[in-house]
Amino acid sequence: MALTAIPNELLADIFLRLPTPEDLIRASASCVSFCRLVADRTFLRRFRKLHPLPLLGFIDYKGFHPDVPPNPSAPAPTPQTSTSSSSPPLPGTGLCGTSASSSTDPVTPVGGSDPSSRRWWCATPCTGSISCSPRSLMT
Amino acid sequence: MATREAGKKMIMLKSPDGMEFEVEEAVAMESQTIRKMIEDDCADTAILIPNINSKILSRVIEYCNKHVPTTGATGAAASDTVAPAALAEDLKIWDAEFIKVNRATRFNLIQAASYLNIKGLLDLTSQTTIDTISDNSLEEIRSFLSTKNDYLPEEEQTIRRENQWAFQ
Repeated sequence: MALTAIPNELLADIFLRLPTPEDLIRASASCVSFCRLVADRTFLRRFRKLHPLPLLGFIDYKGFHPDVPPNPSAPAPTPQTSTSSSSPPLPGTGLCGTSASSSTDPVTPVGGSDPSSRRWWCATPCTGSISCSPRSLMT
Repeated sequence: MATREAGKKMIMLKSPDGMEFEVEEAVAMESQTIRKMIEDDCADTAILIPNINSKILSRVIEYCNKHVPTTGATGAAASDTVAPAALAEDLKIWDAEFIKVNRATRFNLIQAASYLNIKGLLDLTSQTTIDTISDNSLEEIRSFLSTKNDYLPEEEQTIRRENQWAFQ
């Protein structure tokens, strides 16, 4: 007996317990019916509710203040300079804060992306040096 | 058949392959589905449990027997002498031993726990399955869940490319 023999509602309840979005993606990539189940909007909404996005930081008139290390959701110590990098600071957690490293640049562009819904947004206007596209945030 | 035996009400559970299990009412009531039946007085004769064969049903009863709240005649004595924390620890060890079954049995147990609405057992079986998925590669997940890869090679490539962060 395979797990595919289990009814979808039950399977969804099992997948909801997966700790991270990475695990969810890998599980959904194992066969087409799982993918269909996981890509369902209702399922994703429930998953998000159980696994809320971590807080990455705050934005005020001085710019972006990343979360500090003691907090589990703090970003990686080295700031990302390009969103097209293959490893975002917090892969899969849904919100990638991107701060420009040069102090001469007054604007700190912050891009957010939700890997599960494949939507992205930019909190501040993008400058030429940063290319924001849904694909570049995802890959 | 609901009979009285030494002050304890017994419930008869029947599996579709004809086996009958006589269990205490308190044990049977670990299952919310059976509890509803008993409360609605639908449990006068033997309760037929469809879709769950005798092998799985006996495992489920074994679980319920162990997890029935210790308020009965024997349970009260036990909880007086053993601290609740130690009891919980003991249950955890027992659970870990209980769930050491093959994949097919575990998936059957998930279905049984879901049908009979036994939260503890559903949590235990689902969590064990989830533990096999998390932090494993796609190929390992496929073998653990015994799923067949029905993606076209191009489709799988696309998924891997679009979600590279999940496959690192």
